[in-house]
Amino acid sequence: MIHLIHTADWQIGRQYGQFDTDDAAMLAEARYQAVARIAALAAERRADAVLVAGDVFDTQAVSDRSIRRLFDALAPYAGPWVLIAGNHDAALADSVWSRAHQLGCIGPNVHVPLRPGVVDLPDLNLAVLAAPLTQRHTYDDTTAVFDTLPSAPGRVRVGLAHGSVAGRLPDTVDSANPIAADRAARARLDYLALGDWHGCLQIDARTWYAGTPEPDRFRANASGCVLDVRLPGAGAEPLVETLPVARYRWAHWTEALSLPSDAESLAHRLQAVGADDVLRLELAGQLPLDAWDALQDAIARAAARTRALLLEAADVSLVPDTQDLAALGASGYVAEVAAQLQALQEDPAQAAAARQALRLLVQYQRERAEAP
Amino acid sequence: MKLRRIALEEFRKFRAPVALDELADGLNVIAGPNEAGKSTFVAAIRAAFLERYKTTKVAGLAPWGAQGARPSVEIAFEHGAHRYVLRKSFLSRARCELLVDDGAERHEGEAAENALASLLGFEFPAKGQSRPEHGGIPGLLWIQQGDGQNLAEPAGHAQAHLRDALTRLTGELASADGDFLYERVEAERAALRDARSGRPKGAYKEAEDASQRAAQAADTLAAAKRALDADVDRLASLRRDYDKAQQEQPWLELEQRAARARTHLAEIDRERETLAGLRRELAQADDTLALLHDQVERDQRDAVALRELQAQSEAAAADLEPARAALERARQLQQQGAERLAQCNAQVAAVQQADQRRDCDEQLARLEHELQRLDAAIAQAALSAQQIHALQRGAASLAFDADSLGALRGLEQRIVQLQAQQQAGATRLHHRLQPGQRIELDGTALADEGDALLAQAAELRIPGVGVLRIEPGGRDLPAVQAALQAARAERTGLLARLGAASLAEAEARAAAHEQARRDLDMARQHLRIQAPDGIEALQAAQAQAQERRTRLQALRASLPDTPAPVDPAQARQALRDATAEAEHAAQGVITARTALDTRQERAHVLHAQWTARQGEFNAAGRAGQREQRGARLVEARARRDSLAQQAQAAQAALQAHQPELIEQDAQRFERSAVLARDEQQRRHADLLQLQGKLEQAQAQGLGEQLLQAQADAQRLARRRDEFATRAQALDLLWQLLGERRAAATQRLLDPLARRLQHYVGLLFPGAQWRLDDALMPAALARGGGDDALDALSFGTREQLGVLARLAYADLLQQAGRPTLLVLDDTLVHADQGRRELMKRALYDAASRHQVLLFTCHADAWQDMGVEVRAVPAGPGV
Repeated sequence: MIHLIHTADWQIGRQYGQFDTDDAAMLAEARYQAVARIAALAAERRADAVLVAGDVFDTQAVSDRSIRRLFDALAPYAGPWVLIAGNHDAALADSVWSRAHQLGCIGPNVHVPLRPGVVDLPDLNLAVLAAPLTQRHTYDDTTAVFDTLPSAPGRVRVGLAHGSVAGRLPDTVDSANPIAADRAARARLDYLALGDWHGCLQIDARTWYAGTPEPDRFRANASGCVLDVRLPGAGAEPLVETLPVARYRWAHWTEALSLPSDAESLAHRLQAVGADDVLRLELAGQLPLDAWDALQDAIARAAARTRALLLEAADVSLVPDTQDLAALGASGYVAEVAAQLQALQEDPAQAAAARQALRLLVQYQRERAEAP
Repeated sequence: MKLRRIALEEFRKFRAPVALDELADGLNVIAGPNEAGKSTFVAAIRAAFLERYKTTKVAGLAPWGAQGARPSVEIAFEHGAHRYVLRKSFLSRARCELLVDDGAERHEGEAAENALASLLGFEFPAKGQSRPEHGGIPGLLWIQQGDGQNLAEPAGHAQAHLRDALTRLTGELASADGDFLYERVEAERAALRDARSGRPKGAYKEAEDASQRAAQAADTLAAAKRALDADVDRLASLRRDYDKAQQEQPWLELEQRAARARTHLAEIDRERETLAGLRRELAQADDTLALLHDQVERDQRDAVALRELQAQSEAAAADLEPARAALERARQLQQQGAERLAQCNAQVAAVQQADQRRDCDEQLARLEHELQRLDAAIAQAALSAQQIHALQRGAASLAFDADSLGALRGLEQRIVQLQAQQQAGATRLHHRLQPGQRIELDGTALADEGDALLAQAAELRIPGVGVLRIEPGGRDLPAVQAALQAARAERTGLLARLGAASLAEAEARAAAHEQARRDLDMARQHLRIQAPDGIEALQAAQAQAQERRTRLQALRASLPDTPAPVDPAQARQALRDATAEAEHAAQGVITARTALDTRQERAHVLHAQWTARQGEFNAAGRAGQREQRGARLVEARARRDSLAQQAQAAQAALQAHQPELIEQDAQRFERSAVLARDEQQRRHADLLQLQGKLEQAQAQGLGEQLLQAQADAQRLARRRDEFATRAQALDLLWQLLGERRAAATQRLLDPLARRLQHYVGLLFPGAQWRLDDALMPAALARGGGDDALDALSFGTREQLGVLARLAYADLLQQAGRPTLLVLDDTLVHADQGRRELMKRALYDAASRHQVLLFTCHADAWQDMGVEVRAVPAGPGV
């Protein structure tokens, strides 16, 4: 029984420009912590090897410090690591891998094949057929070579590749790095460990995407896991277990607010978000002032609790009624202007400016009323 | 508000009380000359209402020079439904009293004043004199002298009241809030946008700049990353090329091919050498052939020559006969000629003899003459020679050495000089002895009297006394003495040489010698004349002549005396002809002989030659040799032809190799090999360089920096967008608020605009006031464009100032405020026409307000429909 941990798409070095500096820093840091957790997990579960199916780094020319940090993070697990290059960190003539070699970070237990071939682990009776990407843009199937790649007799053949299985992924972009859907069968692999798709996804009994261990985008694709793979022996079907390892939950809520009650229920749901949530809140619709105020309050509170909260409320129109206006002390032509703005919120050309203007009007009137 | 009565006391020129009462409701025209006190009344009204009673700043109200004056004023007026009486006294015992409705209400002091202020719409100053800003409505409507054209200021100070009135009239809600919001929005907008250009400023600009910078930084890094990627790609391709070349080693193949070409070339060279050898052989064969050819030809020529020779020899032999005949003929001719010649010769000889005889005779005669001459000359010459000899002997005896003479002369002179010196330097001893006494000087006795010159040390012996040794002084004396001695000695020697006893003698001898010489010269000359070449020459000539004479005589003797037979000339001529003939004939003989000889010789020679040749030709073995040579020639030719063929074939073969092309190939391959090696080396160097560069770039972590920069750019762009949205929203809000506000203001101003229009239409029909935001008339629009108020003339401004106040008064009255108009000598700058128009306006306004018009032009205001009152005069001034 060979016990493997299959993970991929660590994307070390990724930056999050859509968040504030501090939040972004925490999220970037989380990626290193995920690696540390994987190492700890592998040690704890006494895995035989850890296979990382590409995109370890988010870019080439990563700083030396980042390279060292990454390889140091592997330390808790002493057993063999097999890392292949993905499309972000392809094994070019001069790459982050050659740099890592120069820096001397790659320990003897870390195998980084730079050409398609077999990484033979005789102690484990394991042959890892690795297909690292060696070009910035690869248009042919790098795993085709697996079909003819021999391994020592009796070895368990496990493929390790990075690409998109043709026609099997929910988002079919133009498939760079295509991989044949039946590669596992054709190459007589006991298991094919894939990377590139960031969600945890089964292709067939022997072919899996582990996905990224720490989510890195708001797409809901079941990321944040590693796969615990047990291979009974040559020919037998693998037993795959999904292990969640993510620290943060990324969620994207799109809310349409037409009634005050919608705002209320949203506020209620917002109470549930906590320190490990990264939330993108997209609001549209219209609310009266008080409902809007209440909702803003709830959002502010939630933002204080969460790791990060991105609010997009430009499409929310305010509809203050006469009482609101009177309460604001908006009389005379001010009231007329308020009414005008309210109407303009419906005009798509000026909606954004009108909404903002109305909010400012309300804010200024309120401030004046509160001023001594 | 209507004033009924104004009473003054101790007010400026009015020390005694004066009063102006029975004031009418509408227009009141009060006229008076200058200094009648019109302005005093106006001042009194102002002071009564606007100045605090307690103020000390109103000393100007007191009569001039009065101490402790108490200017007092009492005004009775009505307003609303009430009657008021205001009494105020200033300076000493200041008081203020306001009675309402004949004492129903009574206010004193400040309370009274405050009531007045709120009633009329003005303020009191905190302290000091009332200033324009406190004037309020009265400040606006009570026009002081010369102040009519000033509208903006008093209207500004009354603005609150005006606005209030307008607001009340229009019912526009006090849009104080709106104004506040408008100002707030404007301020917020101004913080984000530049007022003039509308471009971002402040925090917005900073956000924009930061965003731009971040974007640029990201772009720069992206470009750098791209360059880095390109370098990585280049590294990959360079490595591929290098490895490939390292494996294939294309230079080896090229070098091999070059080597093969070279060997090929070497072979070709060998072939070339072979060809050269063949060619040399061929050349040799050619030579041999040529040689043999020549030999054979020579043989042939020999045979031919032999035959020719034979023919010639025979021909020559044949020629002999004719030659012999010719000779014979020539001999005959010659003989004849010789005979003739002899004849002629004899004749000529005879002639010649005759001539000769003549000649001899002549010559003999001459010779005799000559001989005679010569004899004479010789004799003379002998004489001269004798003379000369004598002279010579004489001269010789007087021989003289001129040089010595010269030296002698010099010496004499020198001696003289020295003597003189000696004398000069010598010691003179003059002695005069007594008779019979003798002294000795250097052995020489001296007696009697005499001088002695001592040039050197001398002893003077005086017998019986002793010896005196005198040593002359004079430094040079010894030297002079020595020189003198030497000179003397020399002289003596010279004289000896010269053989004279003295210089004079020597001179005499020199002179004699000279004379002798001269004589000798002359004698010699003489001799030369006679015998230029010397006597011997003469004698020789003589001898010669003598000889000749002898000969001639002999000759003559031999000549016969026969006369000439024929004419000499003829004879000679004949002789000449005969000579010529004889010569000719002789020549002919010679020629013939020569010819014959020649031919004989030739025939002989030819014959000999031919014989010899033939002998040779037919000699043994010659024939055989000739045959051999012929055979060899054929052989040689054959050989040569075959060699030529071989050479040609070899050449063709050589050319077929195309050695030039092979040479080019060799060069090409060698160069290419070198290039290939160099390229590989360059690749190696490039690889190292590139690797170094990439290592450096990697160390900088460019990719990471780029991601960070992009994230930063994203963030800053978001921030900038937030500002942009905000600015846009503020723009919209500001725009909408502005529009609404302007409309509201417009509505607010409407009543005022209408009243102003009413009045200005009386003065300028069709013209329009333009009001600014502060409800002030800002410009007048008539005809073409707007004229700002400041741009109008003084008079026009004054008129417009009055009209505006009338409009304000209408407005204020509509709003229930008290309106009293006081015009103190206003409209003085109006021309006749304008004044007429203004009168209309005033008359119209007077139907609504009380107007107190003070003027000094009584007659100008006679047509207002009201009485023109006089300013009350006090009893005396």
